Amino acid sequence: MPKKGKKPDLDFFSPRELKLLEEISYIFKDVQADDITDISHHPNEPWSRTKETKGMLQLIDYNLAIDTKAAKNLPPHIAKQRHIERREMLANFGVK
Amino acid sequence: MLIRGAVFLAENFVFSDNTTGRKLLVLLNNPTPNDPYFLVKTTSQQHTKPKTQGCIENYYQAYFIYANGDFFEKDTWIQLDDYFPADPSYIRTKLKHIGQLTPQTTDSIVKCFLKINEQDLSPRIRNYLTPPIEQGIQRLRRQDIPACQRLALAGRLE
Repeated sequence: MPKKGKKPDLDFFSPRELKLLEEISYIFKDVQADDITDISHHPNEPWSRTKETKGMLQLIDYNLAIDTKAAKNLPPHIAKQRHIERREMLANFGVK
Repeated sequence: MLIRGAVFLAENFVFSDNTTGRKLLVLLNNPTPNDPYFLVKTTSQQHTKPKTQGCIENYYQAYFIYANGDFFEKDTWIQLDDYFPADPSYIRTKLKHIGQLTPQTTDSIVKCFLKINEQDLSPRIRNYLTPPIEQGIQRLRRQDIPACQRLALAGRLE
């Protein structure tokens, strides 16, 4: 739990992470927890798509995070291959 | 002492289809005894990747080297979409140091990596990969130093 008034060490975050944190905090700062739950369970979003295709409590595929806009920068088949290769590396070396 | 551009061989690398083979990895930093080793993967499998010498910045995010263009015997893509910080003990026990890329190639690969991953590297990680002299040059380029100091420093750096 972050301590109030303690300055965070932002050197651990990438520019993209900082931007996302800022955007997310801006969007959700006035939203109640129940509303956030509803938003993350919207139809056609990763959670509900997984529930419909695999059933409850199943692993959500990372590729479901790639929407049409993101797919222009990273085609799903390349994202999938990267994910496979990353798991391959981790399995072989247990690198952190 | 291992320096950036070192090439490592992982023998008996288990691929996702459960076949076993060789995997070559490249070191991107000059690790001090307590530093992690920042490794990137390589592949000689083209699939749909372009054969364009040097930095490939589109979504393939790789650095291509023609066969025998440097250390590698086959056409090789150094995959820069991901990196793996490894403990020195892993390097000693799991990998074999088999060669070294030239300083010029290494420098180009690191620059390509930093450019491709500009938005995804924290200052902590970036510091491992950027030698102090280059950090100074980059600061000059960002022009966050007054003009008179820039000129004086540029004279010292070049």
